[in-house]
Amino acid sequence: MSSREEILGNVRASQPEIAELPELEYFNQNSENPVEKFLEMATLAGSQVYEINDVDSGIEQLKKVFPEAKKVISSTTGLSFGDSTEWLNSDPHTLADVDLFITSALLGVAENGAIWLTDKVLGQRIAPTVNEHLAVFLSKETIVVNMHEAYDKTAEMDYGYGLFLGGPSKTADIEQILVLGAHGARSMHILLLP
Amino acid sequence: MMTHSQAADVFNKDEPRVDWHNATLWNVRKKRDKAAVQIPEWEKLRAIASQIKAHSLSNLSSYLENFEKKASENGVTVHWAKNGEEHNRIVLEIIQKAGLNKNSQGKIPMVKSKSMLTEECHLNSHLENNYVDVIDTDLGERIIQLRKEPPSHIVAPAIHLMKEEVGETFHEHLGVPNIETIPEKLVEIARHHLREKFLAAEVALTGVNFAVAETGEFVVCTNEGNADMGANLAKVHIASMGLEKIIPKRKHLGVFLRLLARSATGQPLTIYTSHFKKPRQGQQMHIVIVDNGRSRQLGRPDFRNSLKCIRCGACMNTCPVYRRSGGHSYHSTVGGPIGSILAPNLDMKKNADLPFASTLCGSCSNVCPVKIDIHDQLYKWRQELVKSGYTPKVKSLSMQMMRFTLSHPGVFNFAGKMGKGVLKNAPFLINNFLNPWYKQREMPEVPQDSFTEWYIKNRTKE
Repeated sequence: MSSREEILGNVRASQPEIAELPELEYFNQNSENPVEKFLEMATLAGSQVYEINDVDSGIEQLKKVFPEAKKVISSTTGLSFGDSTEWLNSDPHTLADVDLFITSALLGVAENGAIWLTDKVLGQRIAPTVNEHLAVFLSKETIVVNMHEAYDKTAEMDYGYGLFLGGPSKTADIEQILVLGAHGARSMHILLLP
Repeated sequence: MMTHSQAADVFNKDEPRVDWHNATLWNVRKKRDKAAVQIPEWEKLRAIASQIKAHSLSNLSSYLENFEKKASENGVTVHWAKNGEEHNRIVLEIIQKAGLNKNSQGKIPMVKSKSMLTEECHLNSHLENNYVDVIDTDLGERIIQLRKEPPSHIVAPAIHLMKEEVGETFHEHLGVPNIETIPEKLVEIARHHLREKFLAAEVALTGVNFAVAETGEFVVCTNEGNADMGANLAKVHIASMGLEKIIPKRKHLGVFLRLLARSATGQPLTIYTSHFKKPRQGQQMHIVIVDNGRSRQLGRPDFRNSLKCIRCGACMNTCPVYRRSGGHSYHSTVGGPIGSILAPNLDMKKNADLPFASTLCGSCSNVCPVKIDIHDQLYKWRQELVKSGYTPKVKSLSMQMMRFTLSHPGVFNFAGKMGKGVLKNAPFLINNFLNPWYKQREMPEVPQDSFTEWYIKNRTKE
């Protein structure tokens, strides 16, 4: 008998009588203004959030924050900042010296300030993690109250890799003292479009 | 091997350090409370999470089969391991068959993100003996790997160390010229050191926090981004999961993810909450589903609830015994209250002391995000262990004497008189190594009369 058969047989013999699966609720009644809550929570997690009117003013903002960025890449087409084509087919290891990666998020979550990204919008899976700094366009309209709504809204999305990203990379492994920039992006800039 | 109480004795010799450890862990518990009270539906979420897990466990065989089917359709190879040994063999085989490049030492470079299951299976030593260079990439895990220590906490593996000790470790092993003590600088050193390892790795191994039967995807949670750095760069991604990690549907992730980080560290969500569904082009993705005693625990009605655990560590942070005895005292990969109900299932004889490492205060059960009746199970394990004859000799002997004494009034009165005499004239007979109540305590003043004598004198006069 294969290990698979043996394990499944043991599980079948051990599992108790079927217990009922509970109904889920959205818990999104009487919630605070989702955009305000998102701003509060994203800032708390260490992200920088800018409310902007259009993509161009977002790019101006980024150029102000990163005047000396040498290697800038983007998975959002039509931006006047950084390479948006060449890098897509390169070996992911070659992206280790990227100063700034610009992308667009599909959704924001008010209760934790996280954004939802998939390999489809990222171009390469490693892109949001291997760079020094990360900038993300996010439309206010896509912000949902909590994770229940977030899973509902992303249910039909097709992805091989999906990521709720809650801010810059961080660690508290040394004496529980919070430090930003563990392995991934040292800073995360969210450009909030109307 | 030292028992929990012997190891705790050693830990307790350095009192300021115990106080520091206690305060550090309690601080994490306070952060959890602050996060939990901000969610009005918190208690409802805990109940729902517990019910989803109960349902998953009751239909586990079907969900496992469905998960395997979906994952295979997604292009992921699924493997099954009965125990740690088989798990380690499978992982090594995957690595050896993949035709990977070796480094200058003739070893295949591998990066690992946090996985308590691989600790449980002792994977690292097996791979290292077979020409695989294993690098743990979670900062806490890397620190203890360099120091050749096991993790002392499932969420914060190096929580027992002070920053000076981390500085010494980096000085000794990473060639840092001075002993650095500023956390920001230590993290920067680790970032550069581990970035080299990520970029050189041929294979990446991650754990699994949740596996979704409906879609075949699995979720890995980190704050540092080390799982993503490893898996999204390496040619081969291996994910090791205990078979209890299955949940039925993708939408159930919402419930568990709202609870997990808040219970663990007080954060609203882990920074990288990553969903791996299909391998990227040209990459191999493998999942190893491990039993290693879990199906046996599932068959124990009193203890099956322990399989609901989502490894947040809240029960450890709140436990007065854990905080004051340290994670290493538990001589088991998962320590603290939850570890003490998981460990006897793996090895009853070796871990017979652990269910006794508790005051049964119940704080663990109160903070558990999936409402495991932890302290009840600790109590039940004690009964089970006594019945099976695995309790320490001293404890069984004193329990037998107690039962005899309490059921014979004559003996009870005599023992009381004797006891007073002993306390007065030969206190060393009681204040000795057999009686833990006298650790760090002074003897009480011995009263003139026993309670019975006092009662007869004072109450029968009226």
